[in-house]
Amino acid sequence: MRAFEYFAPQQLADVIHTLSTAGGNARVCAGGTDILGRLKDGVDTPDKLVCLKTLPEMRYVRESNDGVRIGALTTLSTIEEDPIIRKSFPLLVEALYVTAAPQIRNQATMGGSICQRPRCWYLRGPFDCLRKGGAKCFAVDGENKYHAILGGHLCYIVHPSDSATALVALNASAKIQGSKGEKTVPLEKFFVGPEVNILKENILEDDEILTEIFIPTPSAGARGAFSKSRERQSYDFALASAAVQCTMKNGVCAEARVVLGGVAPIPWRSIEAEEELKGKKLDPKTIERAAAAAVRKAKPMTQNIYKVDLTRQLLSKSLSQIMV
Amino acid sequence: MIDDEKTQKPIPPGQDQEYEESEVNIEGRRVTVRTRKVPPLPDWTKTEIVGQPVPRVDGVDKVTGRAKYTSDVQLPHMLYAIAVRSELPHARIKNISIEKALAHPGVHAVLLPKDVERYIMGNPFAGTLPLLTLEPKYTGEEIAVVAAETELQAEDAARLIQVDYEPLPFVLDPEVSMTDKSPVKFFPEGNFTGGGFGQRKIGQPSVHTRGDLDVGFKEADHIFEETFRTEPQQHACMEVHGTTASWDGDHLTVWESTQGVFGVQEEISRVFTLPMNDVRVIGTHMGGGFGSKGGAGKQTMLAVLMARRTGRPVKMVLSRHEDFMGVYRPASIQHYKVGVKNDGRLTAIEMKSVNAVGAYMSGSMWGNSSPMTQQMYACANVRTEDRAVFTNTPPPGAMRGPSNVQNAWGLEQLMDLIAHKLNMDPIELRMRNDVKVDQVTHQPYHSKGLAECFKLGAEKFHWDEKRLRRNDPASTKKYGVGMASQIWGGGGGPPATAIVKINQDGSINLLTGAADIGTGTRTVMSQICAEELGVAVDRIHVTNADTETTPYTLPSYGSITLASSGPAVRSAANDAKRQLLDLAAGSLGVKPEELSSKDGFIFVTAQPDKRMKFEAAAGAMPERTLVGRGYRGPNPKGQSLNAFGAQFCEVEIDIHSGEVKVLKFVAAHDSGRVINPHTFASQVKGGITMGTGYALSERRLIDKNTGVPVTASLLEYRPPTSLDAPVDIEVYSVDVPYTANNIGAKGVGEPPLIATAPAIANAVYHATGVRVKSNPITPEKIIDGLKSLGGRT
Repeated sequence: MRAFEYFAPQQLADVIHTLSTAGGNARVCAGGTDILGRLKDGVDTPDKLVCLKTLPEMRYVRESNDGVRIGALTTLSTIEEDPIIRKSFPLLVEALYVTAAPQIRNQATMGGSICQRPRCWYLRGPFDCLRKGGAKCFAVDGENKYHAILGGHLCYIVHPSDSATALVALNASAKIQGSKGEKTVPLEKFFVGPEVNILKENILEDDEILTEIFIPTPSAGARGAFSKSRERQSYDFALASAAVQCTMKNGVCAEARVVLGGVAPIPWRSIEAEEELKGKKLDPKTIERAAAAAVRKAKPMTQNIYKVDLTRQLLSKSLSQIMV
Repeated sequence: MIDDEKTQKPIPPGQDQEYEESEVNIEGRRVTVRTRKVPPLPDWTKTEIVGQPVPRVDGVDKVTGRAKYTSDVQLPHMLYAIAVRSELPHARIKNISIEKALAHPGVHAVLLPKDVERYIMGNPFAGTLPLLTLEPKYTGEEIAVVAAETELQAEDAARLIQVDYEPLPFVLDPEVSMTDKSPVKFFPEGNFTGGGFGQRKIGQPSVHTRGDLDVGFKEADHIFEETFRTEPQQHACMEVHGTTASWDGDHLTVWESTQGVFGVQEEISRVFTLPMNDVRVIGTHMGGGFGSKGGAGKQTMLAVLMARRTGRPVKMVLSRHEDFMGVYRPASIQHYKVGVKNDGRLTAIEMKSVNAVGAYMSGSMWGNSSPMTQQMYACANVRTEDRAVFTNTPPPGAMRGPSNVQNAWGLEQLMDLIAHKLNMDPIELRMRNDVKVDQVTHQPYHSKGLAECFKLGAEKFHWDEKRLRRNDPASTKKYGVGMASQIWGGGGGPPATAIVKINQDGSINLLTGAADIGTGTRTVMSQICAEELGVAVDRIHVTNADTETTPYTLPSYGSITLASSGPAVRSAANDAKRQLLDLAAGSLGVKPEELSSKDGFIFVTAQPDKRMKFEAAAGAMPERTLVGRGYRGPNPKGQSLNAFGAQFCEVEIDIHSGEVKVLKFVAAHDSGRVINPHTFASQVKGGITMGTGYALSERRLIDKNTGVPVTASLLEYRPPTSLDAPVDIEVYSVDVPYTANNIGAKGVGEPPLIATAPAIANAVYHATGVRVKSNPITPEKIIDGLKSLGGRT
């Protein structure tokens, strides 16, 4: 690990100030489950590390009449065990339950989970790849078993966050604090694909941090499910995952949000699958059509063809759970 | 360590009648050693302490962090050493600039290849390795070493050392390396040699042959041709490789995370031409070896040299990342052609294996995956060919059940496949090919409890019932069961010496050179000592694995520790007991042979109330200390000593996600007498956990285009965590009597891993009809397999 300057500010304003004066060479550390690995592996070498743990005000799950607000420093295990979340958002609870391992969920935070960097082994290894400002993506003709089948463009990382996949399905939004003030964006718009910016995965500027997630109250009849496939059952990032949130009225799917994880550089909203579901009776035929639609535009690489079937099947699994 | 030069020397005829020759089987390699004849001790008929689930004697030290490991050693003025490693899989180094590193704060010295070239590790039989090189042959090979006052300074300095590489062509795939298309020529005679322990010659495979294959295949009613593949497996020990070296004048002390302090002492002594009494190696506590720490590592020699150069103690403990660029179980490709009669009897087996063994000869010993094929099943016509193929990857080494683990993946799946084809119970097929004689040595097995393992395991698992269960076609969860069996050495043997000291207060010091690599050696040796002396375990303090204070024993490899050092410990305790009984006989007014020692008392066997306390007898010792010596005697002549076992498992498969979940394991093992049911069960559960990783998740991958490893972390390599260990594991010993040594025990270190992965693969087949012939069994392979079966999922 290379030496860096360590900050432990007491107020959010101090965090923003430090970030805005570091010229892009500062990183924030919440639970530390991602950034510490990056520092130790030498793939991130900031001059300054700003610890957020000393901030008192960002750990909460608050219910209001329009939804639930989750402070960015709330740990994943706290959210997973929260009675409000358990009651209203089983989809999120399911996703968190298969995220990492219990020890990591005790440490990792909501904000960190959403803002973690991809796990591409070229990004994380001694390879001068596009996402690090280099000349090429090593996955294209390399070892691409875990890489993207959707939304790839020059770079083929997959977004690693299970919670982000679930939250986009839940139509969540993100509150961002920066030196220019505060703003809120739909979480879906928070992430950016490589065609927009190949160097980062979200819209955060150097002086900005994510402070809060808002999840709107689901409409009556809403049902959600999350399915994920892992190579190692205790903790592993998704080979693929499928988050589904549908509003059911008399067995008919009135509204649907379908988001795929582990298969694209961002949590991948499948409008194609949603179109197949909306207004239809949720039966095996509809499920099959929606699942097929979700991967119709997939462009697998040499070693990840299996992800097409896997994604289709996981979406079927999630939809079948809603149907039951 | 045993090397050939030493072991092949015959005993001159007529010399010292106290010695004789004994065969020892280590990792499948049979060597003959000269050993002291030891007076036989009566078999333990009824035991009080041996056989009991005694808690680990060092358990509290370990869980409270008091136990000191190599990486815990902190010495005044100690420096930290870090290697600069090759960034390329094959290159010539044109220049190394060290000026900036030397100028960095806290840096004391840099060692370059020229500084260490006269020190060569290894030996002509095993192959040699340079400590540092100007022509790295794999990514991660050591080029230079830097030492500084803090770890961070050393890391920074290592980065400041600039290495100019001239890239050279490289080859990773053994099947490419074997052909004319290989861009690298490792030797003029070819890119492969024989695998295993026999004479190896470049360009020629190692061959075992018996009978006539043509005759065998003609006799067959069915012929099966199958290819199985295994990935490399990394040891991923909880404690990484490491050394702390400290010179006091000419006396060197080395703390080493090792399976055998004496092998490390011998190698240091040889490489640096030091008298052995000036080389003290301490390895009391260590966090796992699994074969990777059988001898000294490069970091051992580099730390010793750096300590000499700087005049400071030097610690060189690898990072997890570096550890993952080192030793591993080699990959294998196994081609089988097998002839079978309708009744299940095997008529011919032809097996050709290709094993990727890195860029040095030293790896080729482990490039063999046929020992089980040669031994496990009765077959008159057999030919095996093992090719150890050179590649630009790190040198592999021994890993828990070397060769047999790879071999079992293919052979035990093949047996399952044949059983399904013949519509026969896989146990029945195995029993029809049972054999009582070791077909390689032509020696009978001293004891073979495999049939008992099948019987007990099948009964506890409810095999007959579960095997016939059918899945609900509508369900997306499929269930299946599978089993596999195994053979391993584990008979142990000489040399091993132990010392038992009785102090005047009746407390006891047991001195044994044996390593406790997490297996519970200290505990079981205490039990053996306590049993023989007739005292409680807590009266004994064990000192182990310290070349200066404990006597020689072989390293903890080949599952030999218990069966090698255990008998020596019993002999030493018996020697001490006899001396104490001699003294007590005078006090009690009887002859020594009339006395027994039990429960802390020495008493007249025929009149138990005529007795004295053990410590009272000790208190009367004129020398105040009594020393008992014990030696490991020879193994019985003309017999093969092997441990057997069978494992049964049940799996659940989600056909949507392709995920495999192990629901249950039943393991039945034949390891002779169980000294401690706790440590026995721990060994078996640990083996099954490791085998579960091998079967389902572990994969070491080197990027095909750059030759750089991309799975050099616990995250990417995916070893099982405690949450992945199957929850429901039942462990049984079949308790078949074993009399080849005075404690009646065989080893169980390696056996429990051998059958695990094929048992899982067989269960996966039973559940889904998908035969996964390459490990790990990933969701990808399940999904692709189901698809090619045409099943809609």
